[in-house]
Amino acid sequence: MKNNRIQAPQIIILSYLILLAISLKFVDISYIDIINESLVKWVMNGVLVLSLIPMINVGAGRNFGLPIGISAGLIGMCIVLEFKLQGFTGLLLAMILGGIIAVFFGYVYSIILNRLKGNEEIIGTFAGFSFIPIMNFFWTLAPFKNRQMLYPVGGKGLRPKINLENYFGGVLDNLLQVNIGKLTIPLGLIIFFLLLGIIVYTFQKTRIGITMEAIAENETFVKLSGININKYRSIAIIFSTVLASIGIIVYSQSYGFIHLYDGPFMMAFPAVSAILIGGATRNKATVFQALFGTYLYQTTFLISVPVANALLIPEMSEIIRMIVTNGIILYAFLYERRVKVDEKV
Amino acid sequence: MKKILRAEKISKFFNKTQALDNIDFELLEGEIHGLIGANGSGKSTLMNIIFGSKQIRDTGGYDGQIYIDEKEVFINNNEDSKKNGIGMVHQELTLLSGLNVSDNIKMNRENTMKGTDFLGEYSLVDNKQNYEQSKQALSKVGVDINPNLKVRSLSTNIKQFIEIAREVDKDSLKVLMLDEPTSSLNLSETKVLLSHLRDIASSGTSIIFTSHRLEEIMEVCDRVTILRDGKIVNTYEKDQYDIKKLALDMIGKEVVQALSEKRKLNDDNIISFNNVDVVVGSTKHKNISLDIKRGEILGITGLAGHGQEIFGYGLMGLYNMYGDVIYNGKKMKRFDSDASIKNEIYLLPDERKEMGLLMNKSIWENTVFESYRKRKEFLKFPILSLLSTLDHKVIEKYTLDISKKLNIKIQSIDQEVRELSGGNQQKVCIARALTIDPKVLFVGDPTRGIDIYSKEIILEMLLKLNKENGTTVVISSGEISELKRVCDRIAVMYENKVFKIFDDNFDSDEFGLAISGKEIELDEK
Repeated sequence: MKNNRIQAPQIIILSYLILLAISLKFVDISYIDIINESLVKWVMNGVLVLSLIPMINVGAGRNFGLPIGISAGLIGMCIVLEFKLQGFTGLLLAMILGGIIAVFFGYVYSIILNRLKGNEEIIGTFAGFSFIPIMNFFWTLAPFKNRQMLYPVGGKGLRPKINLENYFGGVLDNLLQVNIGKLTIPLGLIIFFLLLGIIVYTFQKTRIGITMEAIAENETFVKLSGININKYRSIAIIFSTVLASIGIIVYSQSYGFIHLYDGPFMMAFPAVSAILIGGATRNKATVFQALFGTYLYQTTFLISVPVANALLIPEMSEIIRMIVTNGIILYAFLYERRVKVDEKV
Repeated sequence: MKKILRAEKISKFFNKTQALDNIDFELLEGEIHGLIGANGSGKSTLMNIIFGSKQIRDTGGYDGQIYIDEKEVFINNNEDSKKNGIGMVHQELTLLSGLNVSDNIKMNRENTMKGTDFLGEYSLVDNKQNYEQSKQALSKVGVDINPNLKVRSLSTNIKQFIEIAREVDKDSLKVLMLDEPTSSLNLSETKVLLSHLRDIASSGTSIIFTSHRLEEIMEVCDRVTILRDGKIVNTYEKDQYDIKKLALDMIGKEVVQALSEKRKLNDDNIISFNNVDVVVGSTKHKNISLDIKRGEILGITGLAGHGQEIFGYGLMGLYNMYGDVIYNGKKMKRFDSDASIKNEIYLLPDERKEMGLLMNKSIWENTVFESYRKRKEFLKFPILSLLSTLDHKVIEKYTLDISKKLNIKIQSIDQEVRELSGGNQQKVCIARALTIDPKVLFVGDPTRGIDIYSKEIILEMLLKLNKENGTTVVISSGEISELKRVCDRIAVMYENKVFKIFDDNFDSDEFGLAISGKEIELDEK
């Protein structure tokens, strides 16, 4: 299938992964532990990657403005924490609240993107970055009262990292865990992830999803069929933003902390990089590509930490992570440009 | 006579489909060689091979040998073919619209100022000499325009001439390939071009010429080669020409021409344009009026660039339109695609690749796209409206049926539309119009670039749509002879106004004069 063709990014990352897996033998870490952790990491980051799909397929580019959706999810979680809701109630309510806020954020975001058609990626990056200081205002000034969320000293303003241990930290991770020997499979977490995947997949197959894909290819054609292009684009952007807000909640419950302030700053690049590794292009991405890409990307870095620390100097893994993440994105831009130039001849 | 170009045993496969099968082709010095065949017969493939197009290289190259002046050459890319004196003018125009005419013609072959030559690439350009030589080249193809004009400001037909002039200007040109150069030209322009092609050929350049209009081929070509399904069927010398034989060789069977019956039209109008203003580009055309009668087939014709398309484009919001339009007795409030589609007015635009098709999507998607308002059976859960998935079984059956009915040559319904030939692509457009089943259908140039057999199928389908579903069809086209055959009435446009509407006297002198904007003098008074 030509949508899932293997190209340079996949080859690079696969060979890197194999190399790491081999060198793991020389470090004292068991493969089982790595597999266990890789499954959690996969879903933890996967929902954020999944959230890119609706926007890519409507032709609004890869969502570099991911921090906008993430902020909505963070607000949702903070509200739930304020009322000290725990366990599943807390998690689900956070998703619902975050989702509602994301609808509003996404709507405003879509107005901006619809005015600046064709430059969505650069505008998204800019919008995402400039949204963070605005949210920082909110985090410091919002009237939250729960002591466990506030700065320990002074008692005003939310603290940068809020511990979720007493609330809903790890509830999805520990749901329906299956143990086979040493292997631990977080079945509930994976089912939740696949469920979201099926929703996104089905959405792409509906009448509205198919029309959205056509918008990515030829706007004039779709317009001549009587479709309101901007409305459809807005729907896709809102959908992406809502998914991103759910994504950060899943991420936070695995991570165990809510990371406010500059936390969302650099979350867009790894997500975009992951879906590109999966084989997505500028205006076509599938659920499979998101799942596959996230697993490859996250597992690679999971293994690279202990290996790099043992065999090279410490901190090397972080440097490699940055090079690969940004390198893949740069490669994708260059590659698309080349295809475009070639088509003209 | 000397053989300029000889191709031996040329074969070409696209995936598993054979596009060319052991073609032997010869081009003599100074001859005009016609190349004809139905859509998808391999004409373009053969020319693309000789021109070294990327498309050929990307799909695995070709088999066979090409000789220029009896010396074998290997053509891998455009550079190779240019070095060997081969030039080609494509159907799609490739001019830089921001530059002026002489810059376009002399691109990469500029004259340089004496004394600055030692600077190589950085030497100064001699615009005056460029101007003179461009003017000469343009006069060789029969147009007299100022080479300092910007290309952007010129009409499509003039651009076509400029493209040919650019190739003719090359001193080393031995072989000139023209892929349907006349498709965007009207009759008188075609005449000018053809007579100048004769001159170019007699000065030593050989020409390969394709066209779907057999009359042109018979008029200008010294020899004609007919391709069918990737094979050469026949080659005729000038004295053997017979239009029926040519057509039969091309298609393999007799072509029955579509013809409508004379009938009495309804009196009420389905759409009336009352003194509307339409903005085309930066100019506003005022006071345009036209009545379209319910259930008729109306032809709109005129010289290219005289506004045959404004009514459909205006209703769809592609052009800004202001004023009073009565549809079904009601005044239309907005002129955009949304309002028009809701009123069941549909447009198949003339630029089908740019606006009429999703080139990278499958045939079935193009056929049923957004037809669900009327075709609830394509939805699996109609109650979910926008969120319903599609019923692929029903769609597959429907698409196969309609492909068969329209004689669309496909391997599977999942095939992407861009893999189809031009004629089959147009049939996919027609298939969608049939699926959507509108009350009023505007069609732009439905038969442009389409072979004589497929043309008739398309016209026949439009007639059938009109007869069986009562659809009002408005065809804007420069192919007057076709309009005369299928239309109830023909409106002639001149300078973006309806100049005159003819009911039946299509063959009168008056009709011919109206096209060029002239009234007949009434002596009887």
